[in-house]
Parts: sequence; structure tokens; C-alpha cells
Amino acid sequence: MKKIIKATIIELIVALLIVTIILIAIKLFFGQEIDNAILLVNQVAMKVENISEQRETQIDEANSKLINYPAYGTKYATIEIPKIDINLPVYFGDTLEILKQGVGHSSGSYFPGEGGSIIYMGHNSKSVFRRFSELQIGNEIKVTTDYGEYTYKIYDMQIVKETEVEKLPIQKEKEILMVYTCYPFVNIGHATQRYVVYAELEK
Amino acid sequence: MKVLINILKFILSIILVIAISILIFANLATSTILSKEYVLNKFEETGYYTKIKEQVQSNFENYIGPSGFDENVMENIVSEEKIKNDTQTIILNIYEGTNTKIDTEEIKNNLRKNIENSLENKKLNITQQNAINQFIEKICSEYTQTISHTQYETSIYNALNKINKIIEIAKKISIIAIVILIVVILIINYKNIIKAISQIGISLTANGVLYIIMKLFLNSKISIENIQIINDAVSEIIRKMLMNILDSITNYGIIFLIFGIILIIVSNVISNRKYMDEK
Repeated sequence: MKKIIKATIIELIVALLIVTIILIAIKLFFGQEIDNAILLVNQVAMKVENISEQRETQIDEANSKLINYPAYGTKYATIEIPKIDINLPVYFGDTLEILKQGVGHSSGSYFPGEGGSIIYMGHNSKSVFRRFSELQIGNEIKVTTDYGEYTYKIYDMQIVKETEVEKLPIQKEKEILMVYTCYPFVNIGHATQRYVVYAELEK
Repeated sequence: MKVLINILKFILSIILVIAISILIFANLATSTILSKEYVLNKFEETGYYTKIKEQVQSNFENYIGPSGFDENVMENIVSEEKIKNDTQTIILNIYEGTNTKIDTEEIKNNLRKNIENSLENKKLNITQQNAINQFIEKICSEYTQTISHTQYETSIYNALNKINKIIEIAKKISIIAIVILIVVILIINYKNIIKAISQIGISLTANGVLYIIMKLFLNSKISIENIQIINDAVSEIIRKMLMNILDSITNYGIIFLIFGIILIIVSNVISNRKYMDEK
């Protein structure tokens, strides 16, 4: 029995030796190619880390600055325009994916409460901003964020070309909400104009 | 002389392990990624057609906002059945070089009908008509892109064709090599055939260990479950295929390991009994 076990162990060691030699040969001859292939696959196989829970967005009122900005693509507010029965979610970001879900917040602009230009945008579809033409100066726009409520009063409305970015200026002297959509409201094909509603902070 | 024979046996065992591995991997490739039936089966298994329909619909919706049309113009313009047929057309193009183009006429007609309904027979000028035609073309091209993911179907077919030929040659060579090696091992051990069985057992065990090490190495280096290519539907297919291949490697590894160890033990038991009988 002992002899059988001994012979078996020796032959298993020989098998392992063969494996070792083959692995060394693979490493020597194809090592670089294998490393490159693994690197290539791992470029499309990102490990998803468990992101710790997003901390609550707050506002430092003394400095008019947000603490813990909302994550890109997340909903952080709702916009209400009673005059045209609008009550829509506002997402931080302005990609087409975001605009499909509601109103987008241009990432280059300030947040409500920060005392600067806030730029929101939405499609001119029936469920979003098609009824913008019914708005009048003095109508209210209410933005309810996770950290507070802000009411703005419309003081101007303009039709601008899509290239006229100067009509949506970024500044930090006065809190202005600029909400725009494509114009004409019922167009066919690509709309080259934008209908911009300007509102200033009331409370 | 005995040392030389032992070295020769060792080298033959290494070559046998390599030949068996080539045959196994060639078979694995032809029965998985190089098999049209396997790929189509995976499409069904992972619910690819439903997922790709959602993707198509979502991509269409990206065009709605800037177009000024209502969301409902995109309703029911493409069915899951059409997506399935078109996907199979692309797979045939890739695997059989059929070079058939995706027909978007049905989508065009459905979309045009929906647009006309939404405009409620409003009279349109030439510019508006052109804008509608452009919009329809854009949607059709978006559909074709989402379904095919590539414009290099012919190049992929040519590459697959070459790979298939190489794999077929590799299979034939490895089968011939395995037969020759077994015959040589039997000739070398003609005085004691049991030793030949033991030597084959060593090679099979080595094969088993090699595959299990490969699987463990790949598992530790690549996080297959996180692979993201093109979209969720395609990623899911690729992940499933890779997992399937790794599982097959493990199964082969376990089978070879068990079979190899059994051969080693059996040959040792027989030769020990023989030795005892002779004694």
C-alpha cells in the first residue's frame, strides 16, 4: 500500500512539474500578449465600487454656497409653474438621457440659493414646456430643492438663436433663473431658436 | 540509457499535454463563439431581443425633444419580431457572409403614418416635408446602428473564416499528434504497458491542473461580471459567453484531473500486484 501511495505521489509531482514547465513557457513566449489582452478586457470591465451613500445636500447660507453638491444625473429639486400646470423633477445635468426624465440643470450654472445664474432646460413637448407661450411677466416659478424652497418671479421672456449664448449669461451678482426650451414650440425637424424665460428670486 | 528514456518520456508527456490542450481549446472555440447556433441561443437565453428593443426605443426618444414632434410618434414603429429578424440577419452576415442589408421600409412607413396622424393632416411646405424626411432617415439610421453595432460585418466574416480554417487545421494536427504520441508511448513501454497507462495518466492530470490554474488566473485578473461593451444587452451576451467558456474549462479540468488520477492509481495498483506476484 505504501509503495502504491509513494509511486502515485511521485507521478503527481511529475504532472505538476509538467504544468510548471508549460506555464513558464507560456509566460516566456506569450506573457506580453496575455498581459495586453487582460489590460484590454479590464478597460471594459470596471469594478463597481460600493459608493457610500450620497451625503445630504445642504446650503451654507452665510456664504451662499452648497455643501455636498448633488451627484450628476440625480434629481435634486422640482420645478413648479402654476400658470401652465407644470410640476416636473429637476436633474443635475443636461444630457439627452436626463432631459427624457424631466428638466435639466446646466452643470456650468449656479444652484438655487447660491445667488447666481441658474440655467434650466427642457424639451418643448406637451408634457414639458410647450405651453411657455402662455407665461406672462409676473408669473411665479417655484423651485423646491432638497435643501430649501425658492420662488422666482418672471421679468422677461425672449426668443434667442441657439448660438446666442450671451443671452444666458453666467454671473454671481444676482440670483436669476433662466429656463429655456426649443422654439418654435411646434416645429418640425431641428429647432434653431430657444424660448428663454428669465425670473428673479423673490423669496 | 534508462535516464535518456525517462527524459524522452517526460518530453513526450509535455507534448501530449500541449496537443490535448490545443484540441480542447479548438473545440471550445468552435462550439461557442465561432458557432452561429450557440450565439443565437445565447441571444434567446439572455432576453437580448427585449433588451435591444428597449435600447432602440430609448435611442429614438433622444430625437424627440429637438424634433418638436410628440412622444407618441415613436409608438409601435418597430416590433420585437422585426428586431429579432434583423439581428439574425446581422449574425448571418457575420457568420456566413450573406451581406444582407437591414430593411427599414416598415419603420419608415410606421413612423410616417404616426407623424401624419400627429400633424392631423396639416398642410406642410417643402422645407417641412424635407425636415420630416430627414427625421425619418435619421431614425432609420439610428435603428440600423443599434441593431448591427458595426459596419464591418464583411471584415469580421473574413476574419472568422480565416480563424475557422486555422482552427480546423489545428484540430487535425492535434488529433494526429495525439495518436502518434500514444503509439510512441506504447512502443517505448512495450515491455510494460501498465507504465504507458501511467504516463498517459500523468499527462491527463497535468491537463486537468493546467485548466484549473487557467480558470483561477483569469478569474482573479478579469472581473467578467463588470464587462460593459456597447450597451447592456451586448454586455450581458459577452459576459454569459465568457462565463460559459470559463465554466467549460473548469469542467474539462475536473474531468481530466479525476480521470488522470484514476489512471495513475490503477496503473500503480496493477504494477504493484504484478511485482508481488512475480516475487
